[in-house]
Formats: sequence, structure tokens, C-alpha cells
Amino acid sequence: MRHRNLHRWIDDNFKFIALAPIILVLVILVLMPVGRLFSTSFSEVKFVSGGLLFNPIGFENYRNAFKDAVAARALLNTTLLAIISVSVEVVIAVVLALSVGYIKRGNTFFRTIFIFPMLLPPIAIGVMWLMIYDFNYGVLNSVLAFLGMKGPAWLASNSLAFPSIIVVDIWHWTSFVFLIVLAGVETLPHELSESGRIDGATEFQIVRKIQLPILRPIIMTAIVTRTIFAFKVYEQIYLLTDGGPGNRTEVISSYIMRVYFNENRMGYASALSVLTLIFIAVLVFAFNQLQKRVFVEKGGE
Amino acid sequence: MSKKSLPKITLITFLIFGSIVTLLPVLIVFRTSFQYPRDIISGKLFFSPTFYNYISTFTSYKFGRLMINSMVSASGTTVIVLAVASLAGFSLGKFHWSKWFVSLILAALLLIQMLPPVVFAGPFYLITRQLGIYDTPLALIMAYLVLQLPLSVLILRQFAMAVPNEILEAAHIDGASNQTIFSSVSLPLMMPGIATAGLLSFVFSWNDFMFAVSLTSTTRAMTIPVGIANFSQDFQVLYGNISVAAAFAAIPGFLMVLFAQRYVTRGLTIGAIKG
Repeated sequence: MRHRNLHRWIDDNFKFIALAPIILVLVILVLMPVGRLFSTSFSEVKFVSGGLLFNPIGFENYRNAFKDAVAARALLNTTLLAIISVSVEVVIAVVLALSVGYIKRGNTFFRTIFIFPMLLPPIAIGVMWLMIYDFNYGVLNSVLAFLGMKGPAWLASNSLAFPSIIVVDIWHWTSFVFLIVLAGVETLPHELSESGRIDGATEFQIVRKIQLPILRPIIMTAIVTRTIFAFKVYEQIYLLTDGGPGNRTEVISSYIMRVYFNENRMGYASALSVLTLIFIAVLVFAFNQLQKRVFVEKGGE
Repeated sequence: MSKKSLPKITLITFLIFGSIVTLLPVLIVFRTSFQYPRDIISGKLFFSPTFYNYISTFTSYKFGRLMINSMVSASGTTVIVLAVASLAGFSLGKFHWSKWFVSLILAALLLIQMLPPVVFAGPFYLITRQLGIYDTPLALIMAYLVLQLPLSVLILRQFAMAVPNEILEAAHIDGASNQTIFSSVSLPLMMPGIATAGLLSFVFSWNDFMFAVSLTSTTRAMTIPVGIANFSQDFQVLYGNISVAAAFAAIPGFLMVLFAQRYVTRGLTIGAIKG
């Protein structure tokens, strides 16, 4: 009898019971670490025998963060990387997606190849490019030597390290933008392009005047998502340059990881993390508003 | 006719060029994994292939253990993610909730998905130490739940919404309870969604490096990506071993793009657009 009551109770409250686990996870696994992050950010953490000592120091860590030239450099580098990579990725991905959509045979073959990089472990992508960029044994310098040129130390050079990292990022993430844009290309109405053709429009005009305007919202979505994801960049930099030479490829994640785990300045790293969190939250909110406006515009047609 | 075929040739040339650029780095690593160290250094085009690196990676560096660890944390994460996310997706997608509540949950999930994981690395280090689970697969699973649940809930909510209401109502009229409707009627119809969320959770957990490097320290729980990083030391990179490790690390992603591509496409499009 009691068993039946329980069954009945679950039945009546199923929508709450089914939602409870995710709420619990969000509260325990997200709010708890974030709370921890905030509290640590107001302390100086010291290692004493048997554990950690949290010494409250108020806003000191935050004051230091705003004076930290390396942190500023990391933020600048990450922002530059996001802007440059995403711009290039979008151009390549849109052209690739339109091309794959245009040809009928071999469609799946190319799609498979172009989606692949995104599913690889970022650290393995780092390995691939390590073998390309290596000063002594790298493929790039071997090819240059074959052509009779002496290749530079790509990853240790002040001027080449950052562009080299950007190339890796483009190689990695064009796949994501491609996938999103292709989803839009595959829903393009054929009739419109067809009637354009009958009216004597060139293929280029059809792309520019008919297809790209239809794809605009989805390209916008890809840009927004990808830009925010670009702020996560870490693994390849860890493996290829570790932020060097002289902070020239330092990004937010590599700097916070170093301050936290290598320099053991946990309080300060936490303050930097809180600032990152706020920065990204504002960015997400701003982009969301922007996107809404684009979609409303679109809907008004 | 000629006017039409000209752009097509340009497009195909462009696509082939893009494919070569995409595949070349992968092939370089694959090729290096079959080279003796002396052939790697020589930079010669031709060499006699060998399993030398494969053997030494598994015998001298406990790589088998790292593979097991990767397997355990990725599959553990996937199982929990699917249980939690299918329930949440069903609840959010099929029951009536006030609009602001659903938006609140979705916004929270979206924000978590957008945050750079680095903000969680430090606190998770402290928390797992405190709980005594540092350097165990459990610590990794905890972190991966945070990373993988948001996308999975978004995906499974979409798939739950696509289950026809008539079928659920019919089951209801037949006297089935909500939990029976969920497990025997809705869940089977959500299977493509389960596959999508499960595969993505598995691959992205398997691929993670940041949490693996901050929450593990020995081969007790260390995963493949950390092993890869350890093959690259300050003054020397063990190119043979690192390429073997990278090749193994790439297997799940490789299988997925070959055999489950539509799930990848579907899942990530939902994440980006419907989110």
C-alpha cells in the first residue's frame, strides 16, 4: 500500500522530481565553486603545515589586478585573437559551406573532413602544430630548407609567435563555424536561387543578393557563439608557447592557470577569474541583446 | 553550359585545397607515429615504418592506464549527464512551466556553457582536495558534469518537445503514470537525442585537458591529454611517443565524424541556435 502511495506521489510531482537533479547539480556544482571563487578572491592564500590558510585582505587582489600589466596583455591578446580568428574563420567557413552546398556529389566527403578538427582533443591539435612549427625538425622549416631558405623559430619569435597561434586557432575552429553555417545553407530555398537564375543573375549575384541575406541571422549566431568560445582558448597555447615569448601569446586562461597552479597565488588568480566571469557574462548579455535585435529586424520583413 | 561549369571547377579546386589543409596536420602526426626517432630528426621523406613508438609508449609510460582513466571519466560523465539531462529535458519540454522560469534555467545553462572553464579550475581543485577525491576519476567527472550538462539539457529539451503530445496523452488515458510515460513512451522516442547528447558529452570529456591537468597528479587518474603534455618537456619533445598518444587521443572524435556525423551536426546546431 505504501509502495503505491509513493508511486502516486512521484506521478503527481513528476515535473518537479525530474527537474530536481539538474537544479541540484547547478546549485552544488556551479554555485558552490563560484561562491568559493568569490570568497578566495578576497583572501591571500598561504601554505602552512597541514593545509591552506586564507588570510582576508579585502579588495587588495582586485586593486592589483587593475595594475597588472601581464593581465592587461592577456586580455588584449585574447580579444585580438577572438577578433582576428573569428573574422577569418567566418569568411572561410561561409565560402566552404556555400561550396559544399552547391556541389551535389562528394557533399558528404567534404563535410566529414571540414567538421573533423572540432572533434579532436585541443592538446592533440597542439601536437600537430608543434610538428609543423618546430625550429629544427618541423615540416614548415623542412619545406623552407628544401626551397633553400632558412626558416625562423616560429614559436619563439617575438613577431611570429602570435600569428602562428592564430593560424592554429583558425585551423581548429573554422570547423565549428562551417557546421553552423552549413545547417543554414542546407535549408536555403532552391526556388529563390532558381528564379534568380531564370532572371539572368550570375552565380555570384545569387550568392550575394539572395543567399547571404537569408543566411545573415545564422552567420550572426555563429559569430556570436564563436567569439565567446574564443575566450576559452588554452590548450594549444599551453603546449606551443606557454604564453611566451615574453607574454606575447599570453591569454586569459593561460595566465590564470599559471598564477593559480604554478605561482600558487590562489587568491589573486581567483580575483582574475571573477573579473573574467563578469566580463564574459556582460559579453553574453550584450550579444544576446544584439542578436534579438537582428532577429526582430528579420522577423519584421 | 561552359558558363555554368566554370564556377563548379573553381569550387571543387577550392574544396580540395581546403581538405588538404585540414588533413595535412593530422597525417603528419600519423606518419611521425610510425617513424624511428632518428628518421623523425633526419627530415627525410621516405623511411621504413615501425611500431617502435607504439611499443615504447605502452611499455615505458603506462599509457594503457591513461587510456583506462580517460575511458572511465568520459563514460562516467556520459552516464550521469544522460540520466540528469533526459529527465530535465522531459520536464522542461513536456510540462507546463511559467515562461520566466524556463528562460531563467535556459539563460543559466547558456551562461555556464559560455564561461571559460578556467574560472572553475581553481575552485574545483580546492573542493576536490577538501572532499578527498583529488586525483581520482570522480573529481574529473564532477568537473565534466558542469561542462557537459548545459548542452545536453538544451539538446534533450528539443528532442522531448518533438515527441508528439497525442502519444503521451494516449498513454495517460490508458492510466500510465508520468514516470512510466517518461521511461517507456518518451525515452524511446528521444533516442536520437540521447545518442546526440551522449556522444558529444563523451568526446568533449575525453578531449579535456584543463581539468585533467589541474585535478589529477598521478597515473591513478591522469588522462591521455595530460600524458601528451608530459611527453613535451622543457628542452626536448619525445616526438615519437607524443604522436602515438595524440593518435590514440583522436580516436573518439575520428569515429564520431565518420559514423555519427548527423548527431554532431544536429547537437551542436541546437546548442548554438536554440540556446
